[in-house]
Amino acid sequence: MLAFLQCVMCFRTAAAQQVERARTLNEGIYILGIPPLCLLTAFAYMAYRRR
Amino acid sequence: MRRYLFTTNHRIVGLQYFWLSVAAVLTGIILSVLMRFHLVYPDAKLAWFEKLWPAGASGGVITPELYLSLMTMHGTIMVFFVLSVTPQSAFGNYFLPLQIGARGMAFPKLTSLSFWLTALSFSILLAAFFVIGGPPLSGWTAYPPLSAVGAVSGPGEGPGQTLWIASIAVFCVAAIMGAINFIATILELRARDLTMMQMPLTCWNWFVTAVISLFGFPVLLGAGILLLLDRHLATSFFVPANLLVSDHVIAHRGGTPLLWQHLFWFFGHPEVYIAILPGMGLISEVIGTFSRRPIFGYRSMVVATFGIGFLGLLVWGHHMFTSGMSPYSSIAFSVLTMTIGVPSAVKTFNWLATLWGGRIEFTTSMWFALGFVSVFVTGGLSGIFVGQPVLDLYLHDTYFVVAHFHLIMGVAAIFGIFSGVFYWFPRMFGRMLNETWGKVHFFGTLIGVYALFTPMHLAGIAGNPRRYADFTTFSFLAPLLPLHRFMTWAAFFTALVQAVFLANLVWSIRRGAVAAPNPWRAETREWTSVDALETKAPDKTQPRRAAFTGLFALLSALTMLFAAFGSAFVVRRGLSSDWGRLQLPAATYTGLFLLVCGSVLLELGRRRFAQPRYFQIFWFSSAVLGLAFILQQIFVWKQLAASGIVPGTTASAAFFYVMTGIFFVCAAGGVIAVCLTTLRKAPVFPIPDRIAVTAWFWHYVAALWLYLLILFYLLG
Repeated sequence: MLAFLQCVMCFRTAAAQQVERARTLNEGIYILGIPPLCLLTAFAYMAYRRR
Repeated sequence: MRRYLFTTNHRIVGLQYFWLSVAAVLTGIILSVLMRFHLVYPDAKLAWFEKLWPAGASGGVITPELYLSLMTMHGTIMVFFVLSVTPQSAFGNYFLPLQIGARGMAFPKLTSLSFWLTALSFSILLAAFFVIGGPPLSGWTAYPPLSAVGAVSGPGEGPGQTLWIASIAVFCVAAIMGAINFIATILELRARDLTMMQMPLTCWNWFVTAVISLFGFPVLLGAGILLLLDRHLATSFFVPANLLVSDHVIAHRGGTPLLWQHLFWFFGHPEVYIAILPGMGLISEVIGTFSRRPIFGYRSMVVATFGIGFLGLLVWGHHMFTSGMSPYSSIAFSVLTMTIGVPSAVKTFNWLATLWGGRIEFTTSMWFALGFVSVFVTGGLSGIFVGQPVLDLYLHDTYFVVAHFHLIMGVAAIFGIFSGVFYWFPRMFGRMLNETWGKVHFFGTLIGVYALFTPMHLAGIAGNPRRYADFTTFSFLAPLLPLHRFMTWAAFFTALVQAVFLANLVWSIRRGAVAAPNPWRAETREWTSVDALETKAPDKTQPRRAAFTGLFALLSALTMLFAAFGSAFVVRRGLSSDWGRLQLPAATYTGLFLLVCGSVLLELGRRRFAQPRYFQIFWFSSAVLGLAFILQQIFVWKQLAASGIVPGTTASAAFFYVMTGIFFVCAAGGVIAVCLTTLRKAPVFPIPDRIAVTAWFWHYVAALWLYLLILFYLLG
C-alpha cells in the first residue's frame, strides 16, 4: 500500500526490486542498527542511575 | 621534554591535542585553497606546484589525479583530525575534569596513549604525500571499487590508499580509547556534590559524543580491515565480479560496493554529530554566560542531546538513497532524518530563548556562538532538501551536498571551536586573546563562508557534480565559471582571515593581557574553582566504579565491531551468488569448551580470592586453557590453509579468518590480563575489582566465540 503513495519513479523502482536483495539489506540494517540502540539505552540508564 | 611527551596530565594532553589540530587545520586549509584555485584556473602553471609534486603537477599544472588527492586529504584531515579532535579530545580532555571536579581523567595512561595514537595516525596520513603515486584519490569516503583494487585504478591508489586505511584504523582505535575514558570519567568521577543534572551542558554533549563515537568508530575500523584485506589478501568483500579497470580485468569476485556504503555511513553520519555536539554544548555555556542568564530549558537540552544521538544512529541510509536501496527503506530513513529536526529545533529555540531578555555581552566568543546558530540553521535547512529521497536523486553528488555539509558540519563545528578557543583561552594560557582582532576574524570569516557556500547551493541546483577536476570542459557547466570564480575568491579571503586568528593566537600566548581568574564572570567549575583539587575529596569507590564502567564501554565497542562483521556477513552472503559454505573444523567447537571451562574456573577462583593459593590455582588453570585455545586456533588456521582454504578462496572463508583473527587478539588480551592479575603480589593482592573486571572480560570473550560459532554454523 505504501508504494502507491509514492511518485511514479519510486513506485517503478519499488516494483522492480528484487525481494531477496531488499530483504538481505534490511537484515544487515537490523543487525547493525539494533545493538547500538540497546547499548545507548543502557548508557542512558547508567546516566539516570547515577543522577 | 620527556615529562611533557609522556605526561598523563589531562591538561597537557588537551593542549597536545589542540596543537595537533591547529597543524591539521592549517594543512587542510592550504589543500582547500589549492583545490579552489585549480577549479577556476585549471591550466594555470605554477613552478612551485611541480617542485612540490613532481609527478602530480608535471609542468606546474595540477593533474586531475592530484586534484582528487588534494580533495581526499582535505576531507580526511578536516573530518578526522580537526572536527573530531578539537572539540572533543582537545577541549574535553582539558576541561572535563575541571568542570566536574575530578582530579583527572578516569584512565590517565589511556588519555596519553589515545593522543599518541592520534598523532601517529596523522603522521601515517601525511606520509601518503611522500610515497610512490602520492596520496589516495578516492575521497574521504574511500568508496570501493576505486579504493579496493590497487594502483591500477589511479596513481594514489597504491601505497597512498593503504596508508590512508592504516591511518584511519589507528585513529579509530585512539577514538575508541578516548570515548571509553570520557564515559567512565563523566559517569564515575564527578565531585560528590555534582549530580548529573547539575553538570554543564558541555559535559552532557561530550558524554553523548563519546557514546556515539564508541558505536561508530568500531564499525569504521571493521570496514577498514575488510577493505585492507580486499587490497592485499585478494578477498572480495567490496569488489564485484568481472570488473574492468583501465583495461585490466580485476580478479576479485562477488563482492558488493554497497556493503562499504552500508558500513561506512553507519559511522559517517554519526560522525556529523561527533563533530557538532561538543560545539552545541559549548555554545550553550557561552550563550548563557554572555546573556547573564542560565540556559533556557536545561532538561530539554539534555533530552535533545540524547535524541540527536539516538536518531543520529538510525539515519545512515539517507546517504544511500541513490544506491539501489529499497524505496521502502528510503522512506524509513527519510522520516527518521526529518525527525532529527525536532531535537535540533529544541536546541535552537532554547538558545534564542536564552538570548531573549538577556543582558547580552558581545564578546568574540559570543559572536562565534551566534555565528554557530546562524550557520547551523542555514545548513540544517538545506538538509531538509537532501533528506528527501526524490530530491536527493537530483541533488546527490552535486555541489548542493558539498555546501550543505560544509555549513552544518564544517563551519558550524569550527565556529563552535573558535567560540571555545576565545572563551577558554584565558584558562588555558593565562592570557587574553585580543578582542578587536577576534571580532575582525569573526566577521571576516562569517562573510567569507557565506560568500563561499551560498553560491555553492546554486551550482548544485544547476546540476554541477562535485569531484570534477575541470568542470569547464562540459558545455552545460561552463556558464557557472563566474560563480565558481566568486567562490574561489571567497575561499581565498576566508583563508586569509584565518591568518588574523593565527597571529592573534601566537601573539596573545606571549604578550596578551594577563587574564583575571574569571574574566567572563562564568559560573562553571573551571572558572570558579582555581583548581579541581579544591573540590571535595573524591569518593574512594570512584576508581572501582570507573573500572567497571570502562569495561562496559570497551565491551560495547567490541560488540559493535562484531555486529559490523555480522552485518557485513549477512549482506555479503545475501547479495552475491558465489558464497561457498565453509565446513568448520571440529577444533572450533572444542574451542568453545576450553573457553567456557576457563570462565567457570575464573568464577570459582574469584569466589576464593581471599585464599591466594586456591585463587592462583584456578586462575592459572584458566590461563592455561586460554593458551590452549590460542594454540588450537593457530592449528585450525594451519589446517584450513593446508586444505587450500585461504582468505581469498571464498567469502565465508574470508569472514572466518577475519572474525577469528580479531577474536584471537581479544582472547590473547584476556590470557595476558588473567596472567597479570594472578601474578600481582601483596600488598596489592588480592584486588577484587581487578579480578572481577578481568573475569567479566573473559566471560564476554567466551560468549563472543559462541556468537561466532552460531553465525558460521547457521549461515556460514
